[in-house]
Amino acid sequence: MKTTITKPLVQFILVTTLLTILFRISLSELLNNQLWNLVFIPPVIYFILMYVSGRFFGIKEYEYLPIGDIGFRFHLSTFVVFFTISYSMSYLEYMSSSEPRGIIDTTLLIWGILLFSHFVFYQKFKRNNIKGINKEDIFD
Amino acid sequence: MTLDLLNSWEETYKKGQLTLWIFLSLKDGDKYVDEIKSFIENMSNNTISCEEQSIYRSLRKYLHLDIVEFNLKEGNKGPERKYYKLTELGDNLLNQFIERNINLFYDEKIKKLLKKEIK
Repeated sequence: MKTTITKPLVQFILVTTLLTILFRISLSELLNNQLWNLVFIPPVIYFILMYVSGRFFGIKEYEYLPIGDIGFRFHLSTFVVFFTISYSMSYLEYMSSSEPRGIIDTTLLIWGILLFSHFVFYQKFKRNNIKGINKEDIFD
Repeated sequence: MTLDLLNSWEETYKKGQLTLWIFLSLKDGDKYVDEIKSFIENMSNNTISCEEQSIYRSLRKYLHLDIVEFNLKEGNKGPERKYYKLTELGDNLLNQFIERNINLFYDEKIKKLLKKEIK
């Protein structure tokens, strides 16, 4: 368990939570104010910051212990955080009326398929590792 | 020219040597990281230099793979230290590695070749 939920992963989850809340709020604000020309900004900034954060904490995680499923665990964490916040905000009616629940459901479906593909890829990768560590990384 | 070639060869040769030296130091007895580092530097006549961070990183992997384990013991000063040792798996692994890769150099013919100067 200690090698699954590590310190860098927890830090990544906290940053993801903060970024997702900010993304959701800023997007809803722009939609509520009908600033259609600017709605592309929050997703772009969110994507860039998530990429930087994932890379930063991913490298820290790799340096600590190069468990091969780093990418999958980070992906799964992002997925869980994103939809927990999105559905919570939708349920609490914090989202703009221009963002019907169906959009989140569709996103969940598409992203879920991608996550499942990532899981299948990870299962294939597992064949080349010992207790999660790639054979080439054990005695480097 | 020779020195450059030698350095280049040694650089490649030394990669991957850290594991063997860490295991040898633990075969010598339980040690904490500073002692492992000193053992490696002394016994290799300072030909193998290693950062503590590299040793810690390797030990974390070996711990995860149950190759080493540690006991907490009181240090001379300050907090408790982790004294690492090889597990049965680690000991087995080292013995098999030595048998397959190191014992070759004890073959009489190889020993003679190693002693013989090439002209």
